[in-house]
Amino acid sequence: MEIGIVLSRIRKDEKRLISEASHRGFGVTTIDNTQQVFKLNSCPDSFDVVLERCVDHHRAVYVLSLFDYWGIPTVNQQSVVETYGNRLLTNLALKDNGVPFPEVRLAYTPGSALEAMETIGYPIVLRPVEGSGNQLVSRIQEKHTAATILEHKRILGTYHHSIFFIQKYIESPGHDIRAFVVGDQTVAAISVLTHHWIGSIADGGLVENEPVTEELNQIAVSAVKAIGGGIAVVDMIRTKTQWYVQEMGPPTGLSEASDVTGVNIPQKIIEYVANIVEQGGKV
Amino acid sequence: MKIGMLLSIVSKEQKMLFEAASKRGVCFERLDDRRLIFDLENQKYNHDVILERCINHSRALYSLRILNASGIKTVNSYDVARICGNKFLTTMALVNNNVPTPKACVAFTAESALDAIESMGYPVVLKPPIGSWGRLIARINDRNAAESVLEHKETLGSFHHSVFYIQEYVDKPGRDIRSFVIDGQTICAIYRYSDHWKTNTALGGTVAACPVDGDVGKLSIQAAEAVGGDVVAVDLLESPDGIVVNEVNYTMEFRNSIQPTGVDIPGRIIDYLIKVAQS
Repeated sequence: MEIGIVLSRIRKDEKRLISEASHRGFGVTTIDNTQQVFKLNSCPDSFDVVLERCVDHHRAVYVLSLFDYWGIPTVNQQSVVETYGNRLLTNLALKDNGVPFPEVRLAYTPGSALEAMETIGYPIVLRPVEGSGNQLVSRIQEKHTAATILEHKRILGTYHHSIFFIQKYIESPGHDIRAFVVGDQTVAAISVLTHHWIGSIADGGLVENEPVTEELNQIAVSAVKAIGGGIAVVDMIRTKTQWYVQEMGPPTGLSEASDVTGVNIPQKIIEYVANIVEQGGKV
Repeated sequence: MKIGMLLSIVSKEQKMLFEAASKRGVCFERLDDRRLIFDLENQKYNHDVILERCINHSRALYSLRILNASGIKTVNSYDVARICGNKFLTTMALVNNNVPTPKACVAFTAESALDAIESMGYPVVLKPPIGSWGRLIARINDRNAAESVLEHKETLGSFHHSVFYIQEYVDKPGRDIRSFVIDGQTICAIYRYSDHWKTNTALGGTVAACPVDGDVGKLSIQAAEAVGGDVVAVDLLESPDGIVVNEVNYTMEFRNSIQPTGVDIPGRIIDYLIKVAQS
């Protein structure tokens, strides 16, 4: 079996994925998106499947579109990556499938955005509609700050920063949960304990294994199914009464999570990829 | 019948559409994108159809996605806006449907883009995948130009400007063709003449009617079908090997095309909207 891995850098996660794939006897070809020229009018080397591991979300979307048009199965599918890389598309998919998420509004000008914030009530969370991680994610407590941040986004940012994605702030008791979903199963989960309101590993949060309960598994898997299935991380918040899906993203941080949970996530991913090929490319 | 128009400002095109609608006894409800607040869980729109006329591609795209998700018909649909708003996706849709189009490559770094340009041979055309009115479309004549332009894009632009879409340059006879397709029919076309290699009417130049029988009409319909567009304008180039489709536009301007063709483009758009609303 020939597997193509599209990537920009070989990080720890990619090393482990390549080693798991070779271990299973797959032929692995890495496609470096910083070197490769993709010709639109002719199909490149053929692979049984392509695994996407780009750092840059937009490169991933473009490259997956190409393989999609050429009929080569990809993990993840282009539409899945396009959806989890965009908070509006993610929330619409969650809504269509009855998966709970914090209340959301979308507006295009500081004036209408401010009106939307006042309707939801402070504190609110303002996020770039595209993007992952916590860059430019702001918790806003009151109107003056809101007006100031909106003005900065409008004047300093490109037009993408004037698509205002406004979310109700959900009080979570000190920790956020990240689930690693591979196909039909949550293979592992971690919780991030932090003093900052954004639960983030990068900001020095304390990471612990989170037992995968039936409830956690059910919410995380239904979230990934809602965006079209595949492999993803699901960031969730658990309050005293309810679970919310905050956002989803590409499966990164696999090595750290594997170490904390004792689950070999790269191995699970390669098994999933092999299974996709055996099923003729269907998710 | 409840018909909406999603718009940012009332331009000449919008005024023409309002007039054509009122002549037919139809009134547009204006949805000003500067005032819109979309609540994802409580959809308040119940129009029979909404015509999208935003200036800003991203506002159009997000609004159409939300409206279509709640089952509201829009002209054009989200899928069409997504493909036509991105030159890369348009090329893929055309290639996939065997519609002749100039050769193109995509690369993600200045270094690989330069490789692509050198292997294609000069001149090439470098375009932002997302963008309109001919902005930042560059004809690159030699390696020095390629290096400079790529460096400027990579250093000064947002990450979108580091998705390099490189197209072979088509040596056209001082003009290109813009055709208008509504509901699977090429209703008219114009030649756009210009001394500049960019023949966009927004950049000046003169226009004249172009006959739509033969390849112009046929390829325009095929291009509209390839992207799924109901109301689109197709840009065609006369290459030495025949006519090729360059781009497809989903929120087209038409003010300069009515007089030379004698075709009531806004009227035809409204007739189509009424048909969609009633279906």
